[in-house]
Amino acid sequence: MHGECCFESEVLAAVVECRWPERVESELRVHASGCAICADVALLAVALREDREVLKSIAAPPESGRVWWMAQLRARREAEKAASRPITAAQVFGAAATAWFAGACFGASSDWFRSEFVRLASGAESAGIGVFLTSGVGLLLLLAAVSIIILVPAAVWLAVGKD
Amino acid sequence: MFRDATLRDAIAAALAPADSESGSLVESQDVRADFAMDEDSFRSFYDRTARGLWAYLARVTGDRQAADDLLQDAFYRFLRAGTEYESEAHRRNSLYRIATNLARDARRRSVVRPDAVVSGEDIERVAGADSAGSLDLNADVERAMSRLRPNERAMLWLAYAEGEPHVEIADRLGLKVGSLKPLLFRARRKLAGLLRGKDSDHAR
Ligand SMILES: [Zn+2]
Repeated sequence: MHGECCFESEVLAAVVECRWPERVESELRVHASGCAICADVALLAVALREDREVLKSIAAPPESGRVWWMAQLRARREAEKAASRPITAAQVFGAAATAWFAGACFGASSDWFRSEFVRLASGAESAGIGVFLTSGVGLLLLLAAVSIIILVPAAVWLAVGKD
Repeated sequence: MFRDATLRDAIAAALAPADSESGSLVESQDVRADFAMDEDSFRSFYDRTARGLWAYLARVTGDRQAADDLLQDAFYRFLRAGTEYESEAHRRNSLYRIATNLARDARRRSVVRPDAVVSGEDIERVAGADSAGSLDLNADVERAMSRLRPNERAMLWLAYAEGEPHVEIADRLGLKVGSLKPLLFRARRKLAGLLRGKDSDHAR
């Protein structure tokens, strides 16, 4: 047996409409008394609907106006929280970009910094690297790459990690 | 009571009317969230559905306190979804789907602690002439339902307590109608056996 009887929906409808068992045709009652499926449907529908009425009568949901009011308040708080997040990210990115730009200008314009950099680079095997670094553009590119590698992940971490 | 503070904190935050910040927000009428429903429609929908949804949550979770909290969270998320619905049935299905998912999440996070939903103190609030008889039946149902899996409780409740057709039940529970039928049949056999006092092989 696998679950369906053509009368079960009639039995269920009779329970839902409060006609079961007195106000249904006797044929349906007789059928249900001999049909395991309809007997189960009638048993469950009667028990669960009565249980539902008991639970509905003891339920004490808050008043609808209060629920609306609290939903407005909560939505407002969530919106404020969400709005503060892009601002934080923008601020961190702005600070990172400023730091990068200042560092790049310093590196490109400071004779001391460039000479120290060349001294370090002179240890490198390729002479081409030293020449590249002594040019302002090369140094700027190197600093930009270092800044991106270090500052961008830091900025992302700070922005996302704040929440 | 909740072991995990997350849901409770979120709800408590929204439930804090005494705090001066929330008081000033309300007084200044500066609170206008972008909900798809206006206040009158929401309140009317809430009044039609809240008690029935609470009963559903109480039986699916087996936890009265969780039902209280999940009820408010479900209505909030329903409002926040911002969806326009074609009909009352769609609106109800959406609300129940949200509530079902919340109950499932709460269970995963172990914030549900099944306990007696109805206590002796409730007897005065139970409607009807034979309230003692109703409470006896209620205790039997509670005991039997506690032996079922939560998804079995949900589908049986929707089918027999609410009398919903299979299409609506499948929609609310996120199932295909074809897979619902055999599941519902097995759950029905199991609960019928338990209610008849037979701890049959159908029951766990
Ligand atoms: Zn039958």
